[in-house]
Amino acid sequence: MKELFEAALESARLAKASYADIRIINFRLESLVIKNGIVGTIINETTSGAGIRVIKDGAWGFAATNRLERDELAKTARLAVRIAEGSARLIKEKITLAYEPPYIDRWQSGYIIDPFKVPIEKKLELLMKVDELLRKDPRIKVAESTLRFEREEKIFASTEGSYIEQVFTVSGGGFSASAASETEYQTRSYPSSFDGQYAQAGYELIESMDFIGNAERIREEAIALLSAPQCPTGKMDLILEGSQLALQIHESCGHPSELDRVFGYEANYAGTSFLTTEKLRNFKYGSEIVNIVADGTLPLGLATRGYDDDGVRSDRWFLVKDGIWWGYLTNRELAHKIGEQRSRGCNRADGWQNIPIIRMTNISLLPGDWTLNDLIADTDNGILMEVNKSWSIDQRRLNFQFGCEIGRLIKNGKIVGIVKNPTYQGITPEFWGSCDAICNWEYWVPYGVINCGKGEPGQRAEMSHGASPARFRNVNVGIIK
Amino acid sequence: MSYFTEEWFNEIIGRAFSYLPAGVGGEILLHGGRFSLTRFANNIIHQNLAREDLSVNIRLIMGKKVGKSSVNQISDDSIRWAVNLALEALRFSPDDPELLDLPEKQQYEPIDSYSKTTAELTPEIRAGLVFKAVEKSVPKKFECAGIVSNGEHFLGIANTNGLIASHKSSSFEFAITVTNNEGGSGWASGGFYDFERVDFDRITERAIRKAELNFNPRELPPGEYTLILEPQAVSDIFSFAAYMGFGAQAYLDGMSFLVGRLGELVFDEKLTIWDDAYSQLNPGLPFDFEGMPRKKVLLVRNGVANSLVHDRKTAKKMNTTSTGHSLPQPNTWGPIPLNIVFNKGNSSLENMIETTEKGLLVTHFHYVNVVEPRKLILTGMTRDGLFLVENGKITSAVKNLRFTESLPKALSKIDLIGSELESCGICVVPALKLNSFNFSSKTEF
Repeated sequence: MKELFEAALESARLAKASYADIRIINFRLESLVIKNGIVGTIINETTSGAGIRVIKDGAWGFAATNRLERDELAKTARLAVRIAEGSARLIKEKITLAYEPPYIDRWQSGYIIDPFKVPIEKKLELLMKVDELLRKDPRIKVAESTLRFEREEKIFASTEGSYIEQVFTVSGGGFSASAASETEYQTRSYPSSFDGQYAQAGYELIESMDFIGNAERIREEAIALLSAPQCPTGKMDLILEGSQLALQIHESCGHPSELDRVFGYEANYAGTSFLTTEKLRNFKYGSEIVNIVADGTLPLGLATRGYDDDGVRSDRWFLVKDGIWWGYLTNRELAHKIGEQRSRGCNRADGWQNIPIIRMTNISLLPGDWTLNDLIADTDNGILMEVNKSWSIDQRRLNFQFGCEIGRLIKNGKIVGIVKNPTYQGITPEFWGSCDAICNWEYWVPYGVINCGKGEPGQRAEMSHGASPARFRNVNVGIIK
Repeated sequence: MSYFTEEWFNEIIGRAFSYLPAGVGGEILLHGGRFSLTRFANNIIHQNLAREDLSVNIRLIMGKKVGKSSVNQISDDSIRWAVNLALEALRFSPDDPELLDLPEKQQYEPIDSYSKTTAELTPEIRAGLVFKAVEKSVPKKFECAGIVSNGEHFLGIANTNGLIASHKSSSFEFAITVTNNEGGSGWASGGFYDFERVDFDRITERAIRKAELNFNPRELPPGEYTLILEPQAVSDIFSFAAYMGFGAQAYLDGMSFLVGRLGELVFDEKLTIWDDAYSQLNPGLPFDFEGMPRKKVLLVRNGVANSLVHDRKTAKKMNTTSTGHSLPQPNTWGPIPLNIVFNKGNSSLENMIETTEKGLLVTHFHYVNVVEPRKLILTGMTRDGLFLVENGKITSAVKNLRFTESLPKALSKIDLIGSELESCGICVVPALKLNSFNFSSKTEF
């Protein structure tokens, strides 16, 4: 294998690249979906290839190929150099990479049970059992249950002398039941929506989630939503359960803290950021109890790794400290623009075929000291919203509107009933400024996001957001009348 | 042997089928190609890439069982390994009583969507195009961001029942966001399989003109407004109707806004909509992902919901025939339309503005999502140019607003339909002037 790396890097050197790196990746994906008792999706995918990134004349070039042969890699490296020469026609300043020592290392995420060694019949048996429980009532029109496992083996080598081998194993899954009547279509999901919960873990994660024990509750809640009243409209206190709060963190804190967005690199597509650099360490992002941490070392986190695709070792730092905006997600190219000497290690690519860009690492809201029961008991007129149904936020990440699967109305400290189509809307700093209570570590879960899109061409990334339920005062709820 | 040719495809399927045991039916779906993209922002090129890849998808059927696997390598070892993986999945998969035999050989109407020149555009040519756009913006002290991309794409499908089809296409896309020195932006884009038919200068000037207008935005309250939607804005919202509404599986699942409404008036009578892969403005694929020929489907006739699109599975359930809209089988989504085409009207965009006493003009939308599927209530933000129209003229830029609106409700009150169709994403659409559209909240810029 090392000769392949050398062929590519040597070819880039000969073409006068001042820097080059190569990532060779083998990726395996197994995904099973049972929909209404039959196989909805079955994916057994294996892909491999190499992405070669160079700097020539102060500009980036990148080329990728699935043909892992010595001559092909040398040719691809020369193409990357030619592309960099094209880029160099239109630059203002030459690329400068923040210092990072070269590493020769091996890193691997943990698991107890290798998901690829669990027989497929055992996985299908679990999904079929869940499906049977969900469809016991004919008002359930669609039952879907999913398992998904990924293994990425990646080797990174650079002309600076790094040679880093990493192996990532991801497991996850979930299920949903959708009930339909003449006028309504309502869905409940477990443990969260859009295919469930994911982590860098093995099959033990699936066994820990107790799909069977939760299927009947989810079925009954989907059916109950068909006749539930509409979410009230107006200002109320809002309690978000953990998985919805995780998405709130993702959209309103994670994305605007990406330094490439701040500097306009995503202006044509994903957007820019309201968190412009003059706000660093003097902008009130949220209330004093809001502490948000970026952490590339979080156990189980989907973005946890030894090194990013710049070859930078993972880090942990504050994005929001005691409510004040405190830091950004950076890479080796842009760290110096905010006066930092080292990258935070956030450069990642979707597979071998994409160029690394700044992506969220794991970003989490640190827990407070409430229990959920105490939080509900302390709320006079509120609503608890659970599990995301829809999401939308403007291109600077200020105005957001989220919908959840189910709302539970709270009157005088007690849950008094459920409502359908709950939604809430706000402006990011005002919303986080209204946070007055956060539940404790017992409720804190790193929720996995597996479908974060960014970049052109579009790239998918995975990350986790640790969150426990939290309360926000006086929020606009109920957009559907 | 050259990659991404019929001869190359035939050689791969010959090898793959030779590894199948007796009694097992097989389907190979192969897609691949080369793609390049130059990305610019702040008037510089900051990302620039090229890649080549392919995917061999093997679907095996025996009785009522199905197994599947895919690889992106075409060596003997890789193909044999993939066949064995699919066989293992097949062995343990539960019976699917709805599983259909593989289709037989079909006839296809060819679609021309390949330009060798476009497929082979060099990094130097892409950089030159970016340079031209930046040159037009710099004198105004504006900053450009965007992409120039090109590529060639191969899709082939074959099965052990004798079906075989392949199609080669090229692509070119140019999109540009121009930001003025107060942060107001304008956007425009265009794309086609032949880059020589994309008016690069016109697109750049359109984005610059928007940025020139987008100074000192006024803050307007949320509420109901007369709305002029430029073609991209129409596409941004109607794409959701396409995949959430007009696919037969969404209808059977009870999720579509068309449940119980086929044959009824669902949009304004002025509107007629097809799915048409043969449109000259957005040519699609001549066959779907199970190899069935694509048919032109009349989805909406004069506002009345006329028809859904089908794959073979939904067609059988609804006692009709496939319209050639299958995704790769098996899948949970069912068939979806991919080539939406609206009828033309007789109004220019200028006329829409001139006939508006008070309303808003939308360039395009950002982050649209579904709030409620049965009424098809969508939400999203305006972006890169929201303008107030008063007494027949654009009078100022407006700070962006969030809409929350039922799409069928909004499209039931169409005042004017544009006389020019534009290809935007999966839709070929005109500008529309709607009598009423609900904005639910505002943002700060």
